[in-house]
Amino acid sequence: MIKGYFAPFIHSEKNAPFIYINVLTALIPCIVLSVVYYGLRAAILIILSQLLFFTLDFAFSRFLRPKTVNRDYLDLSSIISGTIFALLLPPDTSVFVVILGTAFGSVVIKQLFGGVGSNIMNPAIAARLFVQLLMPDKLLGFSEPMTEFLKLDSLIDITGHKALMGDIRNLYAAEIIAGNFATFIGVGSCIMILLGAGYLLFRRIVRGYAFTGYLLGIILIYPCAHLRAFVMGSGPMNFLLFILTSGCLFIAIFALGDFTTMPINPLMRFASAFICAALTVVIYDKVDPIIGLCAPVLFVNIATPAIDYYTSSMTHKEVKRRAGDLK
Amino acid sequence: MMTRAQLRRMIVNIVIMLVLSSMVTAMGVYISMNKTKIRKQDYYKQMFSDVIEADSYEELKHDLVASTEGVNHVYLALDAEGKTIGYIADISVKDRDGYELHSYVGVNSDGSTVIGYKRVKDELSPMLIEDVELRNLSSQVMFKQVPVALNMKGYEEAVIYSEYTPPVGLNDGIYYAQSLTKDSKGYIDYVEIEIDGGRIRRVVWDGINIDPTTGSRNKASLTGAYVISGENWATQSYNICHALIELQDVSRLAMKSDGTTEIIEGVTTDISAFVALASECIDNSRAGFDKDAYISKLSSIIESQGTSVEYVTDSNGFIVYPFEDLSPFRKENGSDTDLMTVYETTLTQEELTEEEQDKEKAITATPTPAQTADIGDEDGLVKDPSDSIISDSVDGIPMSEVRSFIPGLYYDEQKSETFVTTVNTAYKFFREYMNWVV
Repeated sequence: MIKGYFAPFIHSEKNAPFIYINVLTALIPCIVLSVVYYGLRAAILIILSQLLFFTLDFAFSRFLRPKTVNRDYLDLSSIISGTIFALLLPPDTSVFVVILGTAFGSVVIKQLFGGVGSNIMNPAIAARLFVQLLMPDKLLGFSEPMTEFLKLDSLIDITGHKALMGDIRNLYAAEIIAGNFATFIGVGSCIMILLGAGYLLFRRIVRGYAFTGYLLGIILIYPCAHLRAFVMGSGPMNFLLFILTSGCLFIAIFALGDFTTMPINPLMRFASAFICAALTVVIYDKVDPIIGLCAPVLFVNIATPAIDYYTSSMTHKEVKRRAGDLK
Repeated sequence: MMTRAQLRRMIVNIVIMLVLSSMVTAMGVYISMNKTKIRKQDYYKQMFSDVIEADSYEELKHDLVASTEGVNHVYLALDAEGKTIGYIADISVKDRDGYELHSYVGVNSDGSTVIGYKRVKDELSPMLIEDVELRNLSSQVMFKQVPVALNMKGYEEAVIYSEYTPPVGLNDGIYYAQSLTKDSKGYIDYVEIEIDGGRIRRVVWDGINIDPTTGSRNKASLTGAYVISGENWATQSYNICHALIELQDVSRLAMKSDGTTEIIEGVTTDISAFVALASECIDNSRAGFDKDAYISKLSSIIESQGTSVEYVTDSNGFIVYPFEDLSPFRKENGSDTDLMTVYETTLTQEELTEEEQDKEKAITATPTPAQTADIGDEDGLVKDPSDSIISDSVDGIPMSEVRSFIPGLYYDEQKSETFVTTVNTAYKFFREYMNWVV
């Protein structure tokens, strides 16, 4: 009966499509905000990214996957990856960046590692880091929200659209809370991200280990890494601004909440998220902000198979086999 | 897959999330919109006030902004009444090695003159240029009309071999003359001429105001504080200076008895003050009485009037002194209106007579151009079209369109070229935007 489906197998009402649709529902607040703030271009970037991720995943699984597995499996996780990737882009990004990023995320990161459930790194985060490292000059289009609802020229601007990104310290509290400032498409409003997080927790889709570990990591490590600023007095404000405006909350919920690329063991999930937060805090000021957010996630993703190997629950047979391997 | 009950529940959840998100977003927009406007203006002021000082700034939304290569954004600088006093173009250009220069170029309200410049310093691969070098380059284009080109050898030669010969006996150097009295608006006119190789190379005509809080006449005309009929005064001043450089002789400006000229396009103002001061500069050049000597002599005359020169010298080094009593300049046996120039005050009566005779000889010796009567057309300055500089271009702009030449950095052509390209990129945008051709 289960032949041709993907592991792991569990009898639960919460099957993979159910979980994915719930995660997509949790992303609705960020999507709504991005479309209201950045208009048609944001909607096009999100839909295009979703479609490309989905089509590439489907095409590769259809034509390259062995016939022993179900090749008609409807992979909704690719739509989530597409959404997360698009929400982490600046609003004035060209579609060429989206095409390149989704191709890398879907083909290289996901399909070459075996497709859904087998990828080591988070495809959306890897794709975002890839385009940032490959063409940073094409990812500078941080225009102010609510300025041009029908603007579309930036979508085909291959030269890269540059826009001013004002000093975050000049923002008013109302703007920070509403996410009404120049930043990535869908990560500006902490309220919207927390709305999504609340939905996932309420529906028991995620348990909150990673989120708690990440937030605790930031709260504990940030003051240590910025001791001088705290002594000088500007530390607490910078700390608040970092949490509310950097997009770290978005990463904590939607990147570290991934089941495939994070450790299975709850304690390890917590610890990995803590380490991810520590790395983020340390490198954030020294590199481009998006690199500061994405690189630690991928570092933790890469370490996950090893963490799972040593910490996941094993059958007696498996324990014996490993002991044999070690001899 | 999902059961029908699950699907139904999911649709309800999605609708709830959509409604909730829309409500929260609407509330967010409501509480933050006004704050955003205030913050944006604060930010613009912080970024642009040293390019063009204005009461408010506003981004210009136009298709041309995206379609003009090198132009990232264009902002309007507005006064308290919302009137445009200038534009700020956000421009990125790359040098030959691919290094970037990101700058704000401020131009006046008709897009013709550079009135501010600032480097943004946020380039990923910044062009290696020192601040002091940029200051030097930006000061060279400040208040100059666009487009701009570097002084090239070819251009200089084309001018040298044009049919208009300079007055004989000119000594190289910088020569200066200023009005002894102020005009009705308190401006004291001055003209500065640079002679190089016996030819007039640079001419400046401007006015300094006796009120130290009022800027130069050039600046005032660009900000709208000094208004005359026709083109603004700065443009007219530039045109007449440019014409003198081309014609090489003040007499060829064909000034009429009412102080106007018909042969220079775009000049409708009274040029009598310019003609008088430029002639004085030419005389000073013949006599080797350069700017330093002029200022020194003028200072001593003012001191002799019982006024401290320091007291009447402004922050730019100009002596702002309108003589109430012109007695130091009256000739011994002349009438009340028969005045000496500053140079002539250094001469004795005998020397003064000899000087006048020499001047007459010099004027007679100056050859008259064959077509002086036809000097209405600026393009007619070059005898042979094959020698014309029009065939050349800078940044894709024909040389005939170029309005200002700057020396650039003599030791680094690439930096100078990149800077000039920045300014000319702004010109290209405004030319199209305002449908404006020089």
